[in-house]
Amino acid sequence: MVERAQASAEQPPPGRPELETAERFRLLVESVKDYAIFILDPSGHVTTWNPGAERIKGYRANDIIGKHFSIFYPRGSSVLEKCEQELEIAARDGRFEEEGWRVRKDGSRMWANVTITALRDPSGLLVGYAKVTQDLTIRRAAEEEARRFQLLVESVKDYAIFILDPSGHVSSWNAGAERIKGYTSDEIIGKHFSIFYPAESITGGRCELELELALRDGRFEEEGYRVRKDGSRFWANVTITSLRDSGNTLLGFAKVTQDLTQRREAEASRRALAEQRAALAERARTQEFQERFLAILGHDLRNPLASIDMGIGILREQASDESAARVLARMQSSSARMSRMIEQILDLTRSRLAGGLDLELRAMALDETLAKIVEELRAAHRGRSIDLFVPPIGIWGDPDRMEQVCSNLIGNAILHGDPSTPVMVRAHVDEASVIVSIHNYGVPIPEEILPKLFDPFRRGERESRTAKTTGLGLGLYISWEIVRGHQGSIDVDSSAERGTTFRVKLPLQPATSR
Amino acid sequence: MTNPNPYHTVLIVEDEEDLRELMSDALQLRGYKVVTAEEGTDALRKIEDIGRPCVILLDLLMPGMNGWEFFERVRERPELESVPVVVYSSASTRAPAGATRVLQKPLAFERLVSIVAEYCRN
Repeated sequence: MVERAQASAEQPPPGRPELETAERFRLLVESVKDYAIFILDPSGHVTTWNPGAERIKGYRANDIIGKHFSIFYPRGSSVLEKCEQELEIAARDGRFEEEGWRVRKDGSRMWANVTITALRDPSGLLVGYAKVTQDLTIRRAAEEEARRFQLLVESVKDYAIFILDPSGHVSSWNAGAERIKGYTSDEIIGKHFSIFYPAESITGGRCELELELALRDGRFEEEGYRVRKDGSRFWANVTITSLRDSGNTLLGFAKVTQDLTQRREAEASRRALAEQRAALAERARTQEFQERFLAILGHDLRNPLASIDMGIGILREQASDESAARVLARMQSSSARMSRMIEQILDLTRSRLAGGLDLELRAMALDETLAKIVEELRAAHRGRSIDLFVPPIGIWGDPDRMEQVCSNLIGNAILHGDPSTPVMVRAHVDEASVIVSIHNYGVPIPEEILPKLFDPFRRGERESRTAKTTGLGLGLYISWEIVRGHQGSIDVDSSAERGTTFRVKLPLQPATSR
Repeated sequence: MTNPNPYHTVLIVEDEEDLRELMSDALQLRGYKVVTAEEGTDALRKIEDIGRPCVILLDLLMPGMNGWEFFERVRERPELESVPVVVYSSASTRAPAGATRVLQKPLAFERLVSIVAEYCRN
């Protein structure tokens, strides 16, 4: 049979058209390199071999002709059975086709598409089989690669990876997309991708612009807000890549979206931390400055004042003529005023900048403090009458600071009150509070000044009472701060008829006293 | 010099020269014997010469040995243990515990001399 086939191939009888056709066909088969095309005899032995077969299977014609075709199959117990079966099917149905593993001469495997066609003569007698084998190993590898890649994309959870068709409609959807955006693939495939954008981006033509840029540059990337199915926003990194086939036809767009909310939050908290640190450093610098400032006020300014006082004292001791004594008296009162102002500025600085006045709270008799101050003021303002009605009252307070408050308020009442009427100092206990009221008649406090009466450096007071005021306008502010430090309050009522009353309310036992 | 009281010298420890000299003048004007020192170490040295002062007027914030440390040193010595120490400072609120008296700067001349009079004979 082998001999016959070769003989007919080599020596075509000239002049017969059917033979010419057969010859042309033989030449065609011989020239095909991409397919192994050969003929098996009815028992399955190879009778012809083309260059494609040689290329694909690795056998030369001499090596293979006459061998049973089972040689192309991976070894196994049922190879002959399988071969038998294939030929039976081809004989029965005219044709058998499958894809499966085959073996090359060198033992390597290939994935092949195999067609076996039964060849019959005009009488219907089976004369053999034509076998066409195509090596699909590379195609299969590419397909597997694509399948694996698809699996990979589908299983990625950290990125939304999906494909848009050229018009921007979603055509694929992965697990990450479902997780990040909240839509299942059923819900989203076919929808336009503008659904992922905040309303303002849609109306602003943002989606179209992004596709245009991806078309122009091949790729578009940005960070921005996107919207989840539930309407919530997230901060996303978005990449859109245009997809084109080898002919440069646009197939669509690959869109990769990463949810950066956490990163953004981490950045925000990192930034907040840095700001906090900077603020702390700034506060430390400010505090250092305040401490220096307080030291200057408290020490450096007071020392020369002490020298001036001392010098005035010495000179007054020695001054013989009256005019020199008068000058020295003026100097001394100015020095005392200066000293008081430094004291007040110190208190202001402590209360405003250095975290509050230092109070040393302890059990004290408020009535005794009031009595002492009234006595001192009576001595200093002879001819002025101060009425004191105070029962014994124990409070939790700083005695020196309470003296300061009483002296300031009663002193003000004397300074601004009608000299022909007494200043009235009363105190009583009302539930858990002590209320001290200091009253005077006289010109009331102007209504426009009342709301800012306790502000530091009150211009109101300084302008309207210049003649009577010798300080900085800090006295009431400091009294207020001291009382506040005792968890108390001061209020004031002033009118021409009722006169002026300052009421100091102090807790009997402040919660934070110990 | 005829004063039979052996303790009649006032020791002033004060770093600011103007104030130190004026205090000294003021007290001398009233007839006290005065020794001055610029800071603690200087004062300790001068105590060796004068023996026991009748009162020490002590500033706190001073370069060199400050008032707090000087006070400790004085109180450590048995012979000086009972010497009155009057703190006269701008930082009077931080005066060492055990100071005989604490005065806040500035202080009028009369007040200073009257306080010294309580401890010393002129």
